[in-house]
Amino acid sequence: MNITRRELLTFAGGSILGALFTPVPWKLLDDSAIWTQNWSLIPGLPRGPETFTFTGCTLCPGGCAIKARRVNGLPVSLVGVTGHPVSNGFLCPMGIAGHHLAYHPLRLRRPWAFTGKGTDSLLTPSTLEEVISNLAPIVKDIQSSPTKGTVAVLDQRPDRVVSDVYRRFVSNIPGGMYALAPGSEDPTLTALRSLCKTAEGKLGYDLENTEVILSFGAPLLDGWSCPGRAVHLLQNRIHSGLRLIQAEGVQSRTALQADTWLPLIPGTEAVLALAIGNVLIRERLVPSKIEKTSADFQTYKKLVAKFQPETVADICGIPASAISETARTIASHSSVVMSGYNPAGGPFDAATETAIAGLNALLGNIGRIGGISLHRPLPSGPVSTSPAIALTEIPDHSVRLLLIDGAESGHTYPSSLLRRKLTADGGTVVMLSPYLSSRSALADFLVPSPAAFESLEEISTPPGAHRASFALSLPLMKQPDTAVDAVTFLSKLAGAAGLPSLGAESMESFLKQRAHDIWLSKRGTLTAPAGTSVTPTAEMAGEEQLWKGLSEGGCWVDDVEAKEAIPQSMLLGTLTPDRFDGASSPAQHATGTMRLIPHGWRNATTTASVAPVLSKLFQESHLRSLGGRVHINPATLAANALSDADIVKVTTQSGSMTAQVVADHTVIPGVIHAVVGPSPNNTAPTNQPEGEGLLGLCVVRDDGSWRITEASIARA
Amino acid sequence: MVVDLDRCTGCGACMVACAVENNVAPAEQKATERTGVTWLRVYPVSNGENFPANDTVFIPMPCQQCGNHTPCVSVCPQNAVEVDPSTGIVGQIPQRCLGCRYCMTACPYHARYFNWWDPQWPEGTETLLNPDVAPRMRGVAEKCNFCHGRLHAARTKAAAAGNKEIAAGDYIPACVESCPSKAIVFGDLADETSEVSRLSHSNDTFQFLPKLGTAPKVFYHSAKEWVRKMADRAPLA
Repeated sequence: MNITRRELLTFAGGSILGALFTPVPWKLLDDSAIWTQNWSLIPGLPRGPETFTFTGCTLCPGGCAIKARRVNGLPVSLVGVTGHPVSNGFLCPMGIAGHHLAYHPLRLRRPWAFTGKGTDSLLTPSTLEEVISNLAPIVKDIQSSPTKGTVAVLDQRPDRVVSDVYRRFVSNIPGGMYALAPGSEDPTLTALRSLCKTAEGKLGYDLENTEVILSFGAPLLDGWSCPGRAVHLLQNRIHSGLRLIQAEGVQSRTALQADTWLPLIPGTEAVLALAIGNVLIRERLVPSKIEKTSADFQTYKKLVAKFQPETVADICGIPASAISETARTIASHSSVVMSGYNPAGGPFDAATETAIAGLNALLGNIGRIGGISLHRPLPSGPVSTSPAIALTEIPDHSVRLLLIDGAESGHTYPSSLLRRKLTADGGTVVMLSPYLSSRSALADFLVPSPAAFESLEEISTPPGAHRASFALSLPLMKQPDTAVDAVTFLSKLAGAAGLPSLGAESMESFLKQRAHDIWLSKRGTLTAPAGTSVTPTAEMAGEEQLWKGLSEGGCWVDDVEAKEAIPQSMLLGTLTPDRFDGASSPAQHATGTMRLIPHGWRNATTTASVAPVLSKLFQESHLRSLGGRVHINPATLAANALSDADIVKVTTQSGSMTAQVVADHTVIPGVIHAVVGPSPNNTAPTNQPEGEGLLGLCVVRDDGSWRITEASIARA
Repeated sequence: MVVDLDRCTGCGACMVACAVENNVAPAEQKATERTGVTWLRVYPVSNGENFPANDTVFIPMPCQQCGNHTPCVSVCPQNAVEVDPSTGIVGQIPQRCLGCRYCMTACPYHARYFNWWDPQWPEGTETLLNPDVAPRMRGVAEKCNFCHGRLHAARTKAAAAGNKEIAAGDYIPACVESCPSKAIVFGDLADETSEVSRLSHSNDTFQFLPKLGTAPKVFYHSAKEWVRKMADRAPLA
């Protein structure tokens, strides 16, 4: 058979035409997408047996309970534990991705030392032995010459067993100080403690029995205390009748969900608190016994007489009727009044904190059910005699060796707050931390500590809790060989410096001792991990049963003491009324300048504290703002001839910095809402820590507050 | 799915839980809100008033699982988008995807995302990825599929127990599980006795862009009138 050229071409053409109607072209297109992939960059997935472990989050003192799904022994997802007696099933975005932090690009994988000071300093690799050999002579020298400066330990999460180890360590050194970092305690409760010095036990908020919360900017729905507690209570208020009144100069997430939002002009919180005090006294809404039990009642009454709602309404930006109504509401219900510790803005100034805390004393809230509870601290054996002081109480230029603990409070503060405590030569700063954070720039030595979920740790009572609690954070993965926990580091340093032994030399032995103390107290109950059973401590066969329950992810909570005990308390404490001089005068508040208020999200104030996948919130959407941006009301922008996305220069007494503007209707006019936050993608390994950003522009006052700083902006 | 916008605090737990569950890689350095990949995105939306009359609502926007004339299905030249008739869930098959991005253009909810870069996790993190969800490659589109890995696991569990139907509670998407405010309710809309079905018919419940007739299977609830009115207007992004 002969095949002509025409037939061949017809066949070929027909085949091509026919092939177009088959799946082949589509398949080729499909496969081309696959062939062109860079497969080496597609990660393989873990394989192995699936298990579940109950543990707890140690990223902040909230200590949320976690159910971890593990594959081949490694965690692949973390979720909250429904029905947990403390965290109520809550887990924040940082906790959800917390297991990724072990591989954070800014993870410290060995000790480092800074050579040089200031901008010329460079990070150079070191070893634990080198760090210890550099520090031991300093400790020895301090022992022999205490006048040249002393040792201070800065604990960012007090009331842990390791906190007591720190206190034992400094008690062996002349002048040694154990200090609490800003943000490690609730500011209202701290102020209240100074108002009622006779109060025994720990103070906490009995929110479970509260009917009204008056909050001066507390981020109740955005990371406050143990976040699940407030979120659970407020989201169920339709059944409980709980009401939230939020006084805040920005329409925050909490303000949005509040029953009443008082858009308060920032800086006038004390004025509002005293005006409420005025109404309470004027309308005789104060319990009669307060007049007798408060030594400074008459002084307080005289002071608040100047703060008539009608005269201060314009100062605070709140109508007089709203001030009076708020006072009547908190007086006619069981209520608590609280100020909020802003994760980047810190506490209010001391006078404001006292004015806010004083409302609780005025209402007789202290020791009252549904008010400020007095509860027993966590059972413990003998505690070191070294007192805990606030960082601000450390005399300036007195610290020659500063040791900063790596457990984060979730809050940040300006580095100048620490620098002023160091001796004139800059002292020596050692930081235990899993990451190279913005605060690392302060350190001379960086010692890598285990990341979250890498070591056995404790979850102690969250700040503001109304009863003590205790649980363990069980490791989900192996810590790097180079990681050093605080107990090991302190033991080695104490040994090299010739200090007495700190007792047991492992975290587990300290934690077992804590469990032993709890069992001896016979107090409280142990809730099984998924809330399946509750066993009273008194009914346990032995301390082994308690330890076993804790080791399986159980949570011990103390009994609530159902008794009312109103202690004697002051309303102003050591604060003299002249601290409020002029506060009731509109002229005092009429400033033409803008105010810079740093704002952060708890546990997300630096790049190192969030997993890179948090870029979903900060970079790949507008849900959270990246660090270094300033949110300003559009009216204020227009008045300054600026617009959204402009690059501006922000200037304060501390210096200048450029930032990108975000036009934001939720911010009160006249305020620069400065975001102190992470840049989750800016995580290329570096030998220089990131700067502290806009926080560095804040001016730290004598009382240690930095909440409001006068500032100006101009187009960069 | 029914999302109660009055309960949502915009914390972002759902977005992060979604990314961890579905192995969505962290953003590439140059990625922005337009080029990033967020299967579930929470949009803060303002009523446009100035302080203090301003009001903001946070709108979690996953794939709306359109039940009628599903736009992404009809435009895909590769048959890479399929609607599962048994669940109504719109699935995406990345291995078939050509990367033409017609589906992204067609989606009125901006709920589809394109992998502009190779997915990259910090070294070591790959050992912590969810073994039930394959990472996608550069050059393909992807979107929410109501955590298909979890649906598959629930089906496997039911089959192992000899059941045809999965038990209630065995299949919950990661966003629903992680929401601290319990603002998201998930279930079978076809089951008239279910909570989600009841909520979808309750007062003040609405769908986004109903005039398009796409019959989304994600419903929203808000007592605020301005929020409900906004649902009829243009897409959010």
